[in-house]
Amino acid sequence: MNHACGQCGKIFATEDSYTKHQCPQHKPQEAPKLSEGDILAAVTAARQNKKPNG
Amino acid sequence: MANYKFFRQETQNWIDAPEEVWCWEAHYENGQILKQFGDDGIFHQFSEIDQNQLAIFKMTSNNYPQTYSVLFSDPNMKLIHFYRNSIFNAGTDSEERTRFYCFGYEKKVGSKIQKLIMVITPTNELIVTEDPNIL
Repeated sequence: MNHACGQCGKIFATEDSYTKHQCPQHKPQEAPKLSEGDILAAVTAARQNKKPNG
Repeated sequence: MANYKFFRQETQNWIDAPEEVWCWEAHYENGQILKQFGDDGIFHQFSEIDQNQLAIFKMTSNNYPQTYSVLFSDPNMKLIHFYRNSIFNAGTDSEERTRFYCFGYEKKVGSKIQKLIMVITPTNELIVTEDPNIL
């Protein structure tokens, strides 16, 4: 059967191998770390772009 | 909770303002921060916030580690902040007063007003709604 993720084409012969399989695509990705300064800079840039004279 | 000082213009005297469980901070584009309960012991009113320069509105607490922020990425967003108070079992020995901290923004989009309100409940849950009256 094809894996439920729909991203890997691996075929499994048994239910046990199916349930124990971990797709490489499913590895949890580390969340980007944003500092307060980064957020403020991003918000300020967005505000400037939306100001009438921005 | 600590008491902060507030100068009442009408009576020209200083009065005490007890600290809230959840307090606001206004972070401006230039990096300056106006705190409702300032580090200098002064209480600031909502009307003191310069909304033309407001970039981030943040709710913080001395009791809890988390913070809740609204990013004012559009200068047309207008800040909203108010309290909703409830009294349970009023007049009885088990009378309990609770406060919901409501904050968010409204923005004119075409001919309509878009509004989003965040509500911090007494159990510190965050509820997002466009109609806080239903709570």
